[in-house]
Amino acid sequence: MNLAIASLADFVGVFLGFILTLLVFSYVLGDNPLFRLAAHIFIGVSAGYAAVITIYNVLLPQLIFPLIYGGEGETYFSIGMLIPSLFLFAKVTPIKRAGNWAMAILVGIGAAAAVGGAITGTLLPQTIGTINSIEPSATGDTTWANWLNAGIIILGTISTLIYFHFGVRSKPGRIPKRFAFIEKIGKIGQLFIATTFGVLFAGIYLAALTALIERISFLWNFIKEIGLQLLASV
Amino acid sequence: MKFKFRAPLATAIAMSVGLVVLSGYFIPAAEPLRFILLRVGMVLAAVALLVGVINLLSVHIRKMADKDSNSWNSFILVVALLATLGIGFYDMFKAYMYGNPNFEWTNWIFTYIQRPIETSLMAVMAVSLVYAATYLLRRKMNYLAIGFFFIVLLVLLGSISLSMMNFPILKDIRSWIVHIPAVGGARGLLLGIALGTITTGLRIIMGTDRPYEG
Repeated sequence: MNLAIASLADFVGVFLGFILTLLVFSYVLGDNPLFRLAAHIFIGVSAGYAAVITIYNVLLPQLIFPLIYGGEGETYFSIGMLIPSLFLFAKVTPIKRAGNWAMAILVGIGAAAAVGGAITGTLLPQTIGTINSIEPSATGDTTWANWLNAGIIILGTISTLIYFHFGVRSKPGRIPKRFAFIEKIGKIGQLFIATTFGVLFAGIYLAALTALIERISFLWNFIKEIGLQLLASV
Repeated sequence: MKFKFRAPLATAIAMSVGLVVLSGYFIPAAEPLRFILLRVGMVLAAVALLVGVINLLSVHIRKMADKDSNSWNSFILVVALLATLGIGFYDMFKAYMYGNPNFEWTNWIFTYIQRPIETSLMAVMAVSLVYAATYLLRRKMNYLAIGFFFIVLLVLLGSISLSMMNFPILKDIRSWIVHIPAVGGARGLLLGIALGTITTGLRIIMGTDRPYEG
């Protein structure tokens, strides 16, 4: 991999990237001021970048430009959005109660969107997917292995859901306990949860390993292509 | 029993707005209204993000005045944030005034500052994950922990492709684990998360939970 340096800005950028990578890698030795410095740079840059993207992609085209250049309807609609938006700024002032109404709109819309998204985006598709796994016409495979796999998927789905059922019936003088059969199915659910988290862990570890290889490769190339030249010139 | 209903207007607003948006998912006639309200929500969320950034800035400007070791870090954070914002505004100005929307300097910051730090943090996670895994095995050695690491090992061995270590059976085992038992567990978890989201959302829409009062 070459570093592809075409200009002075690229050179400065690659040099900065090299320094920042070393600062972050110093965390391997434990939490230290160098790592904290990189973390604070990262938070500052990320917040600034998010603000710029938000202003350019959302606020200017959806609020400011319709307010200035839009037709009559768009202007009134933008004024309608601007008022609760200004109320939101009151949240960081002593009159923060004024921001509650704007926050209520945001929370109400967010909650409804979350409920709608959970029903149409997760609950229905995942339920249909589970049903389809035992529907031969959906897969076209009627071998015993397919039936067995479908059974395992259904057992995994149901036992995982049951594991998170913590409802108990309390009786006076007794410690509240889950039903014995729920406890037993919950144990099977734990196995499936461990399997799923194991697969997720392995996936994340592979991604982290790929990033580590990329960074080490970058450091090596920097030292080979630029670092040695700089040392020779000194 | 005394019952004090706090923030009645905010609750009424959240309930009515929530009901209209939710009905837009299931009643076709209410769909245009849902899109309008989602646009309002998008703008408000964007403004809320800006409020958050301003709050972050003000907190760290206050911290800069402290005489401890973190004040220097706060100064660095404020400089990084303001510099990124300034460069972003310059790029936006260029985009609108000269029709040059390539965001050259903002992309430079992303490519040479943000991405190296993000990738390096991800790379450090490779070390942290191994440390966390050994810590877990030392602290809690039970059948679930052993099963968990057995699965991790099988999936890792089935994923890597090295010329001197090519066992097709490992790939088959990995494929079976990923596509059958892991899917069952993941479906259970996803359905559980969805049910939890629906419950929490409905509690807000019905006014039982009021996270906006304060």
